[in-house]
Amino acid sequence: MKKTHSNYFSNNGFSLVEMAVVLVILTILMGGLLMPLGAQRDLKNYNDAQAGLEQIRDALYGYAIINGKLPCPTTTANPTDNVNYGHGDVTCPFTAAAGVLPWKDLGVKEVDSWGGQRSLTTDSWAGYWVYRVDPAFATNFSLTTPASNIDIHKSDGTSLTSGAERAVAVICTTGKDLTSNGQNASFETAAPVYEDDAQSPTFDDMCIWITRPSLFNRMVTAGKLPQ
Amino acid sequence: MVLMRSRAISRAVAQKGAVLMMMALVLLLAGTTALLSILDSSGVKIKQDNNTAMALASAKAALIGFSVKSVNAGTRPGDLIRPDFASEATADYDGTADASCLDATKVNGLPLVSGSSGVNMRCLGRLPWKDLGISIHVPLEADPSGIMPWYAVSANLVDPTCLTVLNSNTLSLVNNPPPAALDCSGATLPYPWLTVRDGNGNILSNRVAAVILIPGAVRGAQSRSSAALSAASQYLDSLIVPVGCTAPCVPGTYSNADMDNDFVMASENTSSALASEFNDQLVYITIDELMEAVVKRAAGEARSVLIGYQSQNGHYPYAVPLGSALNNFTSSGISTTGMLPIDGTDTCSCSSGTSCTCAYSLVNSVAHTRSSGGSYTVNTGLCTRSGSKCTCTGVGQCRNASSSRKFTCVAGGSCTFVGSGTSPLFTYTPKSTHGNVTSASSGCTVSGSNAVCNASGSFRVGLNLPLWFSQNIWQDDFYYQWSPASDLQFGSHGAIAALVIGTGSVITNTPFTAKGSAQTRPSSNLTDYLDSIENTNGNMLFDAIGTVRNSSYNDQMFIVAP
Repeated sequence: MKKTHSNYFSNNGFSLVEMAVVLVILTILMGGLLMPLGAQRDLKNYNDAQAGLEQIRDALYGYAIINGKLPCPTTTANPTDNVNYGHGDVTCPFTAAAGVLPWKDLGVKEVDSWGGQRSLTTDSWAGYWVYRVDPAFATNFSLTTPASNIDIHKSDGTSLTSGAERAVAVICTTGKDLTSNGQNASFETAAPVYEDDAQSPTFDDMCIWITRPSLFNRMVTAGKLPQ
Repeated sequence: MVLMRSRAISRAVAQKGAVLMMMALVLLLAGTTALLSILDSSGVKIKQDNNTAMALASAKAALIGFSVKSVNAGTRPGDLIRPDFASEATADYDGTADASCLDATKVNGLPLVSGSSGVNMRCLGRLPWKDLGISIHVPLEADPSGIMPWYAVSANLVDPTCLTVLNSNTLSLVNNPPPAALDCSGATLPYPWLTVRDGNGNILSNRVAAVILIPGAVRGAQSRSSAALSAASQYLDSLIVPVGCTAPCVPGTYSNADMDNDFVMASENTSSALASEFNDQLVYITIDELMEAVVKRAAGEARSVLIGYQSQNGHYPYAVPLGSALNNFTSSGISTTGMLPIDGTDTCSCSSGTSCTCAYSLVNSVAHTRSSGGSYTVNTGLCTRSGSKCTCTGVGQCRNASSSRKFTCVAGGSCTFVGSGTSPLFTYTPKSTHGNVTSASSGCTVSGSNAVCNASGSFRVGLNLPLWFSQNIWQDDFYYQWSPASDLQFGSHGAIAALVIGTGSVITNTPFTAKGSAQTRPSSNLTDYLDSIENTNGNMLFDAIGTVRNSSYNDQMFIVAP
């Protein structure tokens, strides 16, 4: 009986020490799998924002083909204003702020990966797509309309556009920090400069821009230019 | 002793299973981790390939767009941009085009050759992304991972020295292999088009206008330190197709970096020898594809001008009969079918503020007005007078009684004023069958539909088409027809008032559809311009827009209005 009793105990698994070692190993292994999840979520958000920017660019091409011009940003702040909210202003004054992308005119997502929808006039625009357009392209333009308005810089100040081929429109997301960084934090009424660069601790915006060659290619192919 | 052994045995039996379970669990976790990392890395590769494909596609769209819109000084629609080189003075790839192309006989092609220097000009370098307006977020100069696009272009499209006319007829010119010296006769192409081959050496196209390449990661002996920046071979790869390869194949060594006109487009896992040494990805634009887009631009310009003429004159301009002398198309005044009446070379000029010449075939009248100095009292011939204004529609004269002030027009349209009177003005009214005053310069200006001259200067009379249109003789490349009854028809699309059809290059290879033999131009026969029975049978019905083109059919249909 005694022998049996002894076998009974030895058949019933591990000592506490053994269990502790196994649990530690398991914890380390599971931790190794779970650790990157936060980083992966960030990456997914950035990829989604990047895809969103590309969809907006395609939508702007389509808008230009249909209307012969690019839309003005929207500055209507009241979400209950069904006529104007989300739709581009009739003119692009650019006297105070850039305004945001007229998402309803383009049929694209209202906010980026980090933004929340506004419901009150006083709500912030955090997470809405920043949008600026060369005024010459917000009215009916031609193949000879110059694009000399919007410049894009890297963080070190070097330009990503040439003097003859500035951007005709730029769309930015403010990134995870929901704040415009670098050059994007300032607003210029004339000769605007936007910034795009690799992600860094001080810069997490992402911008995409439209220039004449690609825009004109689509307009000519669609038979919309020359008019 | 017996008890101890028994315990040892029973413990061994008892713990063997548990340890196996734990081991299995640990192995499962380790295996899952390994699997996830493999999936993740293949996902990364797919994403990279996706990004590369998108970058190539957007670069191609930007290049075609650049070519289509190109109207800068010295360029014309159809021209392309020179590549960006790491020039020897300051080795930088700054994203902007350089002044000329490489000399294939020199080390690294440097120094650059000028356009007129001969047959060794090669245009290979980085894609000038900044000039093309491509959104590159983080441009890299050394580019260790090979993501910055490279670009090669046929010298035909960056050097207009010999190819002075670039239109869809250019497609019929050949130059393969290239001659020993540049041919500026216009009979052949000055430079060859590029050739793109597949991984087995077979030619995919030998009519390539431009190639865009993304080099990918380093392969073989490549090194991308700053010292090797300028060497294309540190980025672009070569591929060997061995003798004895499986047909169809063309044995040889094909390099994207060797500054010839030959490029190779193969997948990374090609079956050719040294396959692992090749990872360039490329897209190419054939001259036919490029010209199809440029024809759309030219047709758009024609449409815009024809609509403008119609709104001004109440009808479309009369067409030029087929077979007219090239490059000087004057409206027939009666025909609604033929070629575009460009009249782009009809120039009127003033040698001074008192002497101008403009043919009566171009203008309805010339009016001469003095702002002071008394009225004309006598008029003769085809001139009428009203106060100090004299209007002539042909040979005639207005003068005062003493002939101290007189305005005289003679045959050929030369008119002269003699006498005093401040600010004399010549006002020309173009014939309605012609259209607009164009390109007024110096002492002549456009005033409404008229030209006004008060000093030495010139203007042209014709459809208000851009200068590049007539300079590149695009009027040769469009069949034009209008109907007052708006009963023209493209396929099932009816009620068309006016249309143009891009004639494309001459069809010289069988099978011939409409003519039955090779086309020649100029010709008074429509089958020398248009290619199908439907388009050449003389009725109001034409092929549908977007009809697929092939080697014996290259018509492009465009509606002018409505």
